Amino acid sequence: MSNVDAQVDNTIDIVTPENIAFQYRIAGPFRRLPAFMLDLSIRFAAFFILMIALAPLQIFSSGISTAMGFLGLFFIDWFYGMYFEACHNGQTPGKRLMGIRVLTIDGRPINAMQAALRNLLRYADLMPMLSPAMLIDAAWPNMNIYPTGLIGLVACAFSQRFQRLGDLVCGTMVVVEERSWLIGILEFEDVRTAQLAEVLPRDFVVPRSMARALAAYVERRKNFSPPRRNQVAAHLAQPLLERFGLPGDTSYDLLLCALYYRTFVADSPAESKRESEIMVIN
Amino acid sequence: MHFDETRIAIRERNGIEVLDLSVTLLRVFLRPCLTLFMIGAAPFIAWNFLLTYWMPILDNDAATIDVAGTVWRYLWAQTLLVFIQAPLAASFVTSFLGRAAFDSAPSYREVLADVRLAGSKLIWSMGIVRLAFPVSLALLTLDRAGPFQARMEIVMMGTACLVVAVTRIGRPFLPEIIILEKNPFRTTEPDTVTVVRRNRELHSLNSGELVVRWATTSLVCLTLFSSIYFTLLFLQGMFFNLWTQNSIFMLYIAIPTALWTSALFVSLARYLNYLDQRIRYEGWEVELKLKAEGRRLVATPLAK
Repeated sequence: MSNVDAQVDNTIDIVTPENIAFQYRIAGPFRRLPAFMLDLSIRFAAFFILMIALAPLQIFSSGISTAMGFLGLFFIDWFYGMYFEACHNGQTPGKRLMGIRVLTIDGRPINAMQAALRNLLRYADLMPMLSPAMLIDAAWPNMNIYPTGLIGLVACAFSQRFQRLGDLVCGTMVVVEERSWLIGILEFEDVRTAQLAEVLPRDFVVPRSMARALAAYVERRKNFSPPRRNQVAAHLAQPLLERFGLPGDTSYDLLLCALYYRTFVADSPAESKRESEIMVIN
Repeated sequence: MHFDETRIAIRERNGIEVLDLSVTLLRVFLRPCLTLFMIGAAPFIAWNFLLTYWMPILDNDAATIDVAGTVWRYLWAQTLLVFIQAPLAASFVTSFLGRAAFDSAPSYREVLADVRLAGSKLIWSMGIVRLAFPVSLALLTLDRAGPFQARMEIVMMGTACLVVAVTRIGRPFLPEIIILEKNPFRTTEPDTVTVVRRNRELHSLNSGELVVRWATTSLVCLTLFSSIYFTLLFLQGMFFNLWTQNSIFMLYIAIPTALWTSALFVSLARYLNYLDQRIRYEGWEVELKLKAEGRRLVATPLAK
């Protein structure tokens, strides 16, 4: 039914001209929506403060006050996103709070022209817009102010990088700022782990994929109940018990922990072990 | 089948990531998702039309009739029906996605066979216990020539909707359990996990988070519905210079289209939330990796 064989995920791999590979997590429409709403609130608040500041001018000339109000609204609305994205490394305050950033599609920071253009096209992405008159069943809309945003949503949905029209035109995308933790070598309080590791056959070499699976299991096992641990571990532990000729009543969980211990702790060189211990965070 | 080489990347995700991945899933599997969803939803769309088409009265000349009231009555009935029927209508999509997680090209035949196998369980649990059929039958009993029956249409239907909503907030992944895990309803063997037991075990792990995810998805669903509905209103206005919501197109095309499209999106999000639930609380991704390694170990001959 489907011809696409790549794994379905919201990540994208980018190789820079310097041949450095990065993997970015792309921010989709629903991650970007709260950032947009936050920025909208900030723009409203800024406009509100401006109107309060202009209030004393009403005494001298209401015309000038109104004109300045409209001018302020224009500047806040059109230049807010452009200024922040160009001068603050692709982040408006809303994007910063939501942990997202605008980059070019080759992973570089955006320039002022791209920031200006993608913010200019924001209104195209918010189309079609409706008027209050339309919602109360008047004959013709008189002022289109309510955005439906379907153009932007459809553009995002059909773009591999979740690009709205503004992003497609400027060659930009919005990525999630990753905060990853490195998990170092885990230690075991149960002394039986080291004892069982001693008994395991020395000639059994743990393949790389199995080492990764063992590391994933040991990292996650603390979240499982003891019966669930045995249930999960059984898939690998049962053939291992058979291979090693160990008694059938050996705990599956303990066996995988012992194999992990032998692979990452007992068999790893002292130097790399020290480095690994330094890497342990939380 | 390689258990550690899944089509959908298996890792923990938060609620917003799940919603974004639902968009990706829809893009990647657009044609099968739309086709299978239409197969599931078409009978309900036709049935709902027959149940509700008479409700809105668009005759503006009749001064005694509250036109807007009749339209609201129709919208309420349609929304209620789609809300209650959506999980049942999305059965084919759920089955397809379950297979697509491991298989790059599941066939329609396999998907249909899966749903047929789970058919009786789905009809009982989603159709009867979760009120999809009783509510439809209750609407059928309405007197079409008589006045608006507030007790029946608002109080009783509203209560049914509330009961279904509460059940679904607490136990959202029942369709996935029935279709994908294929547990039996009854068993005499104590070690065999039944649908009821599995349903209880899977959902007892994080009820608080389930409520938050349901609320987020509902909000997105409402936004999506509004977005589609008002875009269709805009298109009607642009093409026919008709800016009213009380038109044949808006009532009989736009409202069902917006409701069922939102239902499709929610089904995709629910499936991904189900995967996330299994990853987060049952270590499903670890289980898949260990299962794959176990199989490789069995297939590898002993070194002499």
